Amino acid sequence: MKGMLIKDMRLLLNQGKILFLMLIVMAMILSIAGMSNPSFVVSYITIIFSFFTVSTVSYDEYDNCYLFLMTLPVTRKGYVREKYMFGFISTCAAWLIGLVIGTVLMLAENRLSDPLEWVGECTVYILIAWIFVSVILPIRLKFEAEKARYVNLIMVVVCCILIFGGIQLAEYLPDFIVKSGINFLNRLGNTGFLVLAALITAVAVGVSYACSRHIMDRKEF
Amino acid sequence: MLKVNGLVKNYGDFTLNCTLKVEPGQITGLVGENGAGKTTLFKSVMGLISSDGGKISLFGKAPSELSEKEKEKIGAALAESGFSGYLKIKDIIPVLTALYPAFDRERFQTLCDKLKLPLNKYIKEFSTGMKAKLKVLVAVTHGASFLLMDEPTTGLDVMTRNEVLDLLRETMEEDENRSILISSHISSDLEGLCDDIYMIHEGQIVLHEEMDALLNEYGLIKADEKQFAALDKEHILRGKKEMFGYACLTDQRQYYMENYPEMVVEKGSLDEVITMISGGKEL
Repeated sequence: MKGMLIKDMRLLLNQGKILFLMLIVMAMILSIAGMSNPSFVVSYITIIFSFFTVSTVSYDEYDNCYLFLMTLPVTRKGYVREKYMFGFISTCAAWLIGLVIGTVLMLAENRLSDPLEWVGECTVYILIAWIFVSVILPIRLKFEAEKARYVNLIMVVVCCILIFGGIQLAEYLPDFIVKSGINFLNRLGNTGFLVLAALITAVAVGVSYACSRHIMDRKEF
Repeated sequence: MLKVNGLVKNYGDFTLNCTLKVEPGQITGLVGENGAGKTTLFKSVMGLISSDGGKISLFGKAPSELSEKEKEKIGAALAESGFSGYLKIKDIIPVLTALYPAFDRERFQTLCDKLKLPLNKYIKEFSTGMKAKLKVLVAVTHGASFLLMDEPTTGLDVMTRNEVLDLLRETMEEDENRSILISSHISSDLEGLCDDIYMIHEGQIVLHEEMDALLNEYGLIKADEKQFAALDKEHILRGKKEMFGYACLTDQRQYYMENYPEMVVEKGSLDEVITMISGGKEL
């Protein structure tokens, strides 16, 4: 797995550094111009960069590289494990850089009143990034680049329908259910909400990993 | 080392059905026209595709069951597949170091220098020859026991072809138990390299022979209508109607040279055997 991690890191350094620099510059310009806030900077850098993790699959697929990679001392299981590990490491790195930039901007704007709340808020963004990776990675492993794009689009539409449908449904739900739901979230507090979000992310990553393993075990090269 | 027993793989109308063996210390060649099933066989051997029947055993195990440790003993160079073109050789050196405990970094770098492979250039910018040399270099510098070479010399000029073949010869000399399974379109490459040869045609193995036997005992008889009618056909493998009469492939060249001195009996070559086996008819 170490060898494959180095390969993806090198790809990241060769191909992702320009993307990453562009993200930082864009986020900072938007923030300094007053068109966004520091929290946007962290979420923007972390979530957009998480897509690069998945794009390393495209590099493996491009020019039939998959065939050769699978002749290396890497099992199918090891390949999947490496992709999740790489996703974890690279999004953490992007998040940390985003967090530092965001914190500097917060300090410059004199808005950092509660550092713990700020870090907690930013932690939610990395959890969202991992959920993104969890959804997209199995799709990318299952489908070729072109098809995966359509599937991703369908997934976005499905998510929108679910969110919109959920909001609409809430209006028709009996009051006591909606109220108890809101009360539950209020009772959780910031820490509780973060723990709940972390649990949901852990479940999403776990399910996603199991799906990716299943897809990879059956993949024909 | 490698045993392929009754392997079956179906792709629509195409069916691969073959049995093959690669012994320790041997270089085994695989020849066949485009679409004959060579790459399908190689993919099956590496466990990259599932099979519809038969059994493959590499190091005594099914390819899909090989552990990372066992895969370290394999060196593969596949046609039109390799490291991402967005990497440089200087990027893949640490990758190979991490993947193969036996990776000989110093030798790799020395050979890169010798074969004029730049360390600091994207692989996508390499010429066909440079890419081919790199693939073989990666396969032979980590002490692999089994090398799988799918068309390693295709599209290369004579000089580069010889460099690649010399690299394979040197690698074989290092370890007497090392084996190579190699496919090529260029018969002369295989004639000078292989100990035995398999010929695959429309998914079936149609010939297996020791290379020495093929070159020394096989022959091409050229006979006119009259000579052909009088010819003992017991040792004729294939025959083909030609402008002058008949061309016949035999694995008993000496017999026909001694008994039919008036006929032209040419020494066998891999090209002729391939042409006759795939284009000729059994008499």
